[in-house]
Amino acid sequence: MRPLLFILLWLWLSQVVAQTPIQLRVGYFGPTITSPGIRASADYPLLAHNRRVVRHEDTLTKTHQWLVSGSAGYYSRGSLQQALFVIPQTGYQHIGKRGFTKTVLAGIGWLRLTTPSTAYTDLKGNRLRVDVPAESVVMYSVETALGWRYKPKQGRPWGWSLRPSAFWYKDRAGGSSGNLTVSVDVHVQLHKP
Amino acid sequence: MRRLLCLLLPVLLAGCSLEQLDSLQVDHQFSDDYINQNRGRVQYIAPEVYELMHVVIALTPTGRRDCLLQRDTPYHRAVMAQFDTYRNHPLVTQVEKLLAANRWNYTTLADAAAYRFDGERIVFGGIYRKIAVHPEAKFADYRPLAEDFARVSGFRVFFQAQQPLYQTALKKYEQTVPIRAMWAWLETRFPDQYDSYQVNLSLLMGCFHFTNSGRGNGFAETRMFVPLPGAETTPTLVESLARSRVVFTEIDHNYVNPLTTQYNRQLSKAMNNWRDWNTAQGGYESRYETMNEYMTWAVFTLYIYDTTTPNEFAQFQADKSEGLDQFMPNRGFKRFPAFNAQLLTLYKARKSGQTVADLYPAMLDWMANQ
Repeated sequence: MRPLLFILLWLWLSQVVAQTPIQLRVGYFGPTITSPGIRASADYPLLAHNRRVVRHEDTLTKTHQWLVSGSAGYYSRGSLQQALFVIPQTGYQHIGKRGFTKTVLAGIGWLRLTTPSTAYTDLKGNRLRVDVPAESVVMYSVETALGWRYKPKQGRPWGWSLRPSAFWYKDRAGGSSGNLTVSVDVHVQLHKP
Repeated sequence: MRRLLCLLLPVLLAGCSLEQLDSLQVDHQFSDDYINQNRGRVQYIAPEVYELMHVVIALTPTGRRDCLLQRDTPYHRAVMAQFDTYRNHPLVTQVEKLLAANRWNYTTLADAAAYRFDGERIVFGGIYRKIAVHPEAKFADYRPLAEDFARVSGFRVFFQAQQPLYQTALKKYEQTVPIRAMWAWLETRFPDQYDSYQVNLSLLMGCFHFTNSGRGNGFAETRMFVPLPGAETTPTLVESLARSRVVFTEIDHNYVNPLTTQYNRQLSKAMNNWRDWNTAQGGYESRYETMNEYMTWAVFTLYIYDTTTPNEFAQFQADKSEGLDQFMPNRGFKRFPAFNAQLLTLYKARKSGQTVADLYPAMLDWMANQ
């Protein structure tokens, strides 16, 4: 019974996704250059306002839209820290008539911090292992993005964006921490307009 | 309406979040209890987590060769005897990476001083958040490894066992380094005023000292991070003045730096090229930082001029290792002897009611003519 429900749900979601202008994004996400990570996101325009501009026989469109977005990602700081996160965000996006995009997003999500279980040997020859419990914390994020969106005559709209952002959290010890990040994403819209 | 909503909502959301982001930039949060306990006080403290990080630095390759730590002491030998076996711990590797990347990351220790132990856990002390310079040098990120290191190495038991040594050294420091007198002297000669001094001390700390200050909730505090000399010997006059110099030249940054900021425009004319004044051996690579080093050390000359006998003053000035006119050129501040002499001349000739702060324009004029 349960597998059937999953299949039905999957088919229904596929239909919804194929008919709505959901945009998928994937890109490099790192709190610092030396802390590589990856992030996958989906953006959905909840409200959109299009304004058509006619230029030299071309019809161009300017778009203002209210986005909701969901992201999941991972980054690593080697044997110091590894992190997984899931964060819903919302915000505003402007797509210019030539495809230049400006975005502001803010969100609250979940961040799981782990310290890798590194083994080492002390000078007495004992083999020891660092064993630190993982921590789940609430993360806050503010993100901006500048990018470009291409709209081919045939095929799906796609593009790229450069996304400086800040995220911060209060850890188990009660201390505040956070990072400034820059990510580079490529995106593709699933639905052909 | 829809368009207005589209425009306003993200602005409101971003506004809320930016306000929270802004609160992160405040590196301290003085509670009423903290203010009541510390107003008018000098705190002499050796924070346990701060000392833990010093022990970790002692095990790093940098800590074994750099003057960051005092190595030739019985306490350092005790530290190495107890902890050297854990030199391969990942925390030691991570701290070495930090120090190798940038020596200023040593200030990560100041973040550690804001934490305390609660059993085996390290928890935030509630007042100070962050002063470390480098964005990757937040103690919060090193805390889980620090907890593991402390647990596996028996650090807390060691630190408890060293308490008699620490308490004796702290008491002797309080008796021999007149910080309260420095505080009173500085506040009659500079416009800035502080309600509390916090002196963070370690028996391991060596040549790298630093300071910061915080204001909030109607309260201002300066924090100094300086070495704690052992209590084994009684210092000579010159050694005693040298100990005072170490902490004084940190404390007075909190009075001098705001003045330098105020005179920044005049400074750019007076010190056209900071490299004419500073060979940048210690990383003070700007006009602002160079001026602050010159001024904070020259102000110490004024302090000892006022608080010692002419004989003692002459003896300290002439000392080959501790006299400032020898010490500062060795640090790369090559015009210091002339600067020091000029400030002292202006100070001796000052009019009644004139403060050291009032001598700043005359010093900048003098510098412009060099």
